[in-house]
Amino acid sequence: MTKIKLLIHAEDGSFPHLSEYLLRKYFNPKDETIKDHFILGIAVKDTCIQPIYTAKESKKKRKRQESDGEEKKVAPKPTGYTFDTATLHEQTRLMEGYNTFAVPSFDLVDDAKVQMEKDASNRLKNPQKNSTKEGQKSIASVTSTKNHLSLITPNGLQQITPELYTQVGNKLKCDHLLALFDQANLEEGKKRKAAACERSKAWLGLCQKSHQSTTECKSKLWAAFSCHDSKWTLNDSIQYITEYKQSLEGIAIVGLHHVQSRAERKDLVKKISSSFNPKPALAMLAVPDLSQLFDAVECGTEIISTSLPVTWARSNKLFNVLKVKSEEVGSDGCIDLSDEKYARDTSPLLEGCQCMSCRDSRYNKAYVHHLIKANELLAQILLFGHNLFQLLTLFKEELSSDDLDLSKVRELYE
Amino acid sequence: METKVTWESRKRNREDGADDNLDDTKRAATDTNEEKAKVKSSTDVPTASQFIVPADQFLSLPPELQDVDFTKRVSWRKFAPYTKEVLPLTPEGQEPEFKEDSPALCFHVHATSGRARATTLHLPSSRKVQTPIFMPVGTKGTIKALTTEEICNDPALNCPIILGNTYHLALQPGTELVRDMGGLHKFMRWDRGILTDSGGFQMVSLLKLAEITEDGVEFENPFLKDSKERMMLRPEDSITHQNNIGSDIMMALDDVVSSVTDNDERFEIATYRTLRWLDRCYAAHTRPKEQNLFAIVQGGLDTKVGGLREKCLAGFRARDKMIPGYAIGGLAGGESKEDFWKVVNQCCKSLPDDKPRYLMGVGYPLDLVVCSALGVDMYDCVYPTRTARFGVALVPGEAPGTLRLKSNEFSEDTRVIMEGCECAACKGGYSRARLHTLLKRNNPLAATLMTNHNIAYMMYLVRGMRKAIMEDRYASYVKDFINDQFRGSANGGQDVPEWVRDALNEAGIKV
Repeated sequence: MTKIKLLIHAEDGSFPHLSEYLLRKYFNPKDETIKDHFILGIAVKDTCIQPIYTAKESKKKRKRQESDGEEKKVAPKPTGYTFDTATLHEQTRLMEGYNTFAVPSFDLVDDAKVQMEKDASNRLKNPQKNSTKEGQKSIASVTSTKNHLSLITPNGLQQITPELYTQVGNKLKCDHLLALFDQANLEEGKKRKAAACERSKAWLGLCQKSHQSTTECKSKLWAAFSCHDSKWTLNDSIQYITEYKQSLEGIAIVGLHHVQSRAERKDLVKKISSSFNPKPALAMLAVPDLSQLFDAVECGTEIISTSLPVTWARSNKLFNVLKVKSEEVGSDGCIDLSDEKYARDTSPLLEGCQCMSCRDSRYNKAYVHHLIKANELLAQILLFGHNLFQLLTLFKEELSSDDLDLSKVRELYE
Repeated sequence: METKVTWESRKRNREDGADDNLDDTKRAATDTNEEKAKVKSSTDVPTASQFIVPADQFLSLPPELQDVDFTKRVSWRKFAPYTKEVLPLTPEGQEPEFKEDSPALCFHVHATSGRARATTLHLPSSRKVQTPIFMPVGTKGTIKALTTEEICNDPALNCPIILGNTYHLALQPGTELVRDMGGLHKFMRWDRGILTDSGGFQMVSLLKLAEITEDGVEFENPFLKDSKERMMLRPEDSITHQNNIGSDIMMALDDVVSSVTDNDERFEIATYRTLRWLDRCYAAHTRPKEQNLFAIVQGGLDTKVGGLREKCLAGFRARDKMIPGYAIGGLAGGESKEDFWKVVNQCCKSLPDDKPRYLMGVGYPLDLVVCSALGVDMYDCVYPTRTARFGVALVPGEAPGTLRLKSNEFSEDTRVIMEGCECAACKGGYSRARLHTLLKRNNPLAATLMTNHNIAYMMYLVRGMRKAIMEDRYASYVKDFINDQFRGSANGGQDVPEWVRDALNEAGIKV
């Protein structure tokens, strides 16, 4: 029986939304389900970014301080940022015992798109600073050179070399480590795609070398397979990953969701898995919806990374209410609790659910609806707790079942 | 010079505002029915018109106070150290006995230490509150960023009572809905104490266009911005809302005047009106066996013999039988600390020792320590929870007793907020640097951890205060606290503020 695992991004190295008190009670790493079906994704871009302080003082400041007579305690400002870390627990105080998977980022192109939107909205706010020309088509692009990748971090764009990345990744002591990779936007030209492929190849080599030379306890190394397009770079990628096959735990497919056609996506994964013998362990990063999640399971993916429980919670959605009132449920398997019709709905969030928000018929729909309307953070906490529990239940009870009939599961949701 | 201009212009504005209110009060009393009909009340409960007086009597002493000798200080049922008589104490753990004149509250005083007291409020449904107590504010039916489970079961929090805001709950989701859901306890899954305010304070503080008339507080419904429809919150409405919410302790609607208003006449009107509105509140109260209705002492900063605070207190003395507990109101509104402690002091000296005293809207740790020495039992304030979300952690030690964790100076500080603290952040080993990072990134977990710490700190504080009172060493507890916060300018710290020295001196504690 394959135990399909859900990989959730631990934003800033923290379990999203839940305090240790709730984690111990409801998502304890010692629980069977958590052990078998849950992995926390640690992104180096937001977990390992550290400020640098260099003892530099401007003349002006020094003069001012001198004239003040007494020495004032001035809070230093970081002069730059770098990537460094201690072990994951020391660095973030994340509860110990979870399966963990360190990655540079879950999808570099998605990061670039978010950044571009942010920049655009900033430009709207400050039209004077608008430097891009009107009508100029811009593509969200990942910045990289032969020697480094520019990661989009909470402290801006920061360069990381494959050596530094592996060093930092090893220090985290996560169970799994994804090698540094480059990723081209599908809309970019052949040249950029070829360069990205070339860099991913070189960086995998460097990562593998530095990983091998580490004497301490090691994370299992994964290679990233960036999906640029179905023809152009595919064979090149397959070829270079095959070279390192022996030292790899598996292959993480990155950016598949950018490929628009479902058939093309399926083809691509089929080609990847059939090109290796024996079949490699597959992980799929940044799966955007349930349909693609089921496709991933169908292709034999073991680890599926998705931000669905968080995005559902942030958009007021309650997952897996299919068995209750199917007519209200959207195609994503959710109901939108911000809908006015739940204002007086005293029924529990989900009958029979044993999650932190539902068990002992704890909270009803009307209360969570009220929290949403009142813009209370507790709404997100309760919804996230429920959605994660339900998605894990789906992974454990249906997707990992021996007699899995995916078409039946699909029918329920689509 | 600049401050003077600002102050004067502010004062002028306030006077204008107050005059507007005066005009309106007069107008409301003489208005035709036609004009009144424009203002819709938020509930259908009729006004108890027997308690309404015409505008020309707004400044007349209420009939029940006409025989009171205002040359003497007003006080009733006082025991040691106020008088020589000894207060009968009840041992901890004694079962409550609800009496006919206080069917929803049984108040036990277990110990006193000077004027400070350790008590238990037994509420219906076996809920009990040990004092001194700080009540975290759960404005809209939740303590922001925490689940009720954590607030109850996390030993560092374990709060016995929280506060809900009637005004906010009336706007969203509406108190009829809360009532239909079985009351706020059931709605938010909280089986412990809830205290609700009357809603009047928010109307006056949040809404610029609120006007107070004899009938109630008239305001523009903020949810109906376009229609310009005006709404009315009468004492009857406030109580109906609170009856709907089902809180264990309700507060009477009072005529709130900002403590820094400079208009004696307005204060006098407000004081007498507060008495009349209290009668209307009790007349509208439909669940006296399940819910307590506390009265709020008003009267501005006038603490002199025969002053407005005394008049209000004398009015309450005349109504004492129906009042299960008292609150001190009209403070925490920008008045000087000198004025503040004098009002608290006078109210505590007057109010009976066999009923609880609640100081509204007060919540700095220093205020709690000082006011408990003066005899206050209960406190509430948004400060610890709100400031937590802004990244400020409460800590013992040197004044101001806070850490602004968003500041860069904490970006490499590997210590936890407070050594030995049992909260989720400190016990979980979250360093100041880690919290700094989470706060800077707006990670929602930061709000949860910081709120958890600040409530845990307030609970640690009140538990320490209670223990010291039970062991009759509150004076030394206070001295330690004060000496820790104010280490003196000679030692590079701050000196003890004059008001703290004076207030504690009054309570018999010399620092």
